[in-house]
Amino acid sequence: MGNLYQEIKSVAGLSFSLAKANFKVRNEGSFFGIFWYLLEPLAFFLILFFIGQNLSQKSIEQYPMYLLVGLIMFNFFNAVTLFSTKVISNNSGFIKSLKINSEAFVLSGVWQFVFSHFFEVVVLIIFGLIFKINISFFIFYLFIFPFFVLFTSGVSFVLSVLGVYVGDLRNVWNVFSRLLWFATPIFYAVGTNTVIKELNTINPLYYFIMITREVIIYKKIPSPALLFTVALFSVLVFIAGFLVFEKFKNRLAERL
Amino acid sequence: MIIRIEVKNIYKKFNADFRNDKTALSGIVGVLSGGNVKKEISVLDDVSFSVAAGEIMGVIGRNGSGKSTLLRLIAGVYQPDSGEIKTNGKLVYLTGVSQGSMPKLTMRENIYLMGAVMGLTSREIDERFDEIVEFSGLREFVDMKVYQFSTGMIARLNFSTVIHCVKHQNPDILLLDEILSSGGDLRFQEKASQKMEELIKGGAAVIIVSHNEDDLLKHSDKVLWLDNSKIVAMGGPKEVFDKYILSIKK
Repeated sequence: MGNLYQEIKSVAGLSFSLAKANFKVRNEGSFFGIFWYLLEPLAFFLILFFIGQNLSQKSIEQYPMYLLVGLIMFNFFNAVTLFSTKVISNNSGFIKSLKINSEAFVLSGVWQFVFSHFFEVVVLIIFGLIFKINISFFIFYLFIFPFFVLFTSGVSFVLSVLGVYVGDLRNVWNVFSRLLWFATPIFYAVGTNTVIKELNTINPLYYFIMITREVIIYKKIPSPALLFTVALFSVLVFIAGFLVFEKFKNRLAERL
Repeated sequence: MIIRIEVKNIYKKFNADFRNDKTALSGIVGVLSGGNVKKEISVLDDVSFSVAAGEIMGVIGRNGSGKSTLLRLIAGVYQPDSGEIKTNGKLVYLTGVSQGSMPKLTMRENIYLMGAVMGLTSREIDERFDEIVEFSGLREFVDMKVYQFSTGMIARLNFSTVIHCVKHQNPDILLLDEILSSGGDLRFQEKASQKMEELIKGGAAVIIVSHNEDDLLKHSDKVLWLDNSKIVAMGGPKEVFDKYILSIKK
């Protein structure tokens, strides 16, 4: 048991150090670099703010907040998973030359974008103040986000293994995640009885984004059954992804 | 006498046709055209030996004879296809000291990063930090970004960091793949090889892969000669080396 604890501690420590280093490199050691990470969601925000509501079938209450929550949550998922498709081969130098817990490389991607996401949330809060929303319910995001992180990490574990076997996975995933972006109600609302609605019943991102919006913007607490299902699902995806990674991790070095 | 490394009849093969650039597209095309023929080459075949605590074993052989694969198997980076490898104690595997630093980070940040990669906590690196900087002789450049360093300076930074991290871990088993020379100027090399010797002679079971005859003759208690995935000879350094040299000259 003590051994396992040491192992977890060392993976956590290493992934955190790697994330910090990557973050510094990416942002050239200054916080201005974070601007580039925020640019995409903000640019999309501006475009969709002006045209998005016309595309939607029904008018959406608090549209700017609705839109921004969808954008930043999707952006987090997209950034982490896309990073994970290449993370093992990008660190092949380490993985081939050290007996190292390679989970740390995958988790470093998660940490890195959790840092970045923090800044997006700051922007969200600023927008909340501008659009005169009572931001007290934002505190509940602290309970939703960890499950979203678990879910995203689980998916990333699988992608990172797959990325070793499939060299162009990044391209494939990039296209898939674009399609997912349009399929997820980010800038529009799900109407009744549409294909989109059917599709989204099996889209995990939809549930995370929907719950977050309900709680922090509209101050409604979703049904306990739904919350429980989403939480359980996140944990299961994480465990499944982790087990896949554990099964393959000893064979990855040979493929690099 | 404590046996630290025990290798029994290991066999390791690689897929010779496996391409690194295998993609989703080429995979689909391959399945459709039925063109995925597997060809395997054995890298290590029926290799057995043991190394005791305090014993130093050199490994020689031509390029591609399986030396690095052997170390990776012992380190657990690769898994053997059959046979058994037992290690007993804290293991450190070192290769390619020149890699690993990130040019856009400062020397200080690089030391912490490399330390973390080598398994030290940041508190442990704190304790060693001054020693590392002092040994590298780069005190006045600590907060400079590494891309501005000369090749020699980078070699000094890497060597100092790695060697002190290893020393901190106090390994029972030490696997060294072509890293006996440190790079840097003559004075640093001298200092470095002294440090290396301290480490090697520190009581751990050591395996050294090297092409440098002098180093191997100086350090090893026994030498293993690999060729074509098999052990050709194992025994006293001088004797095995003479056979090896003779076979090359033939």
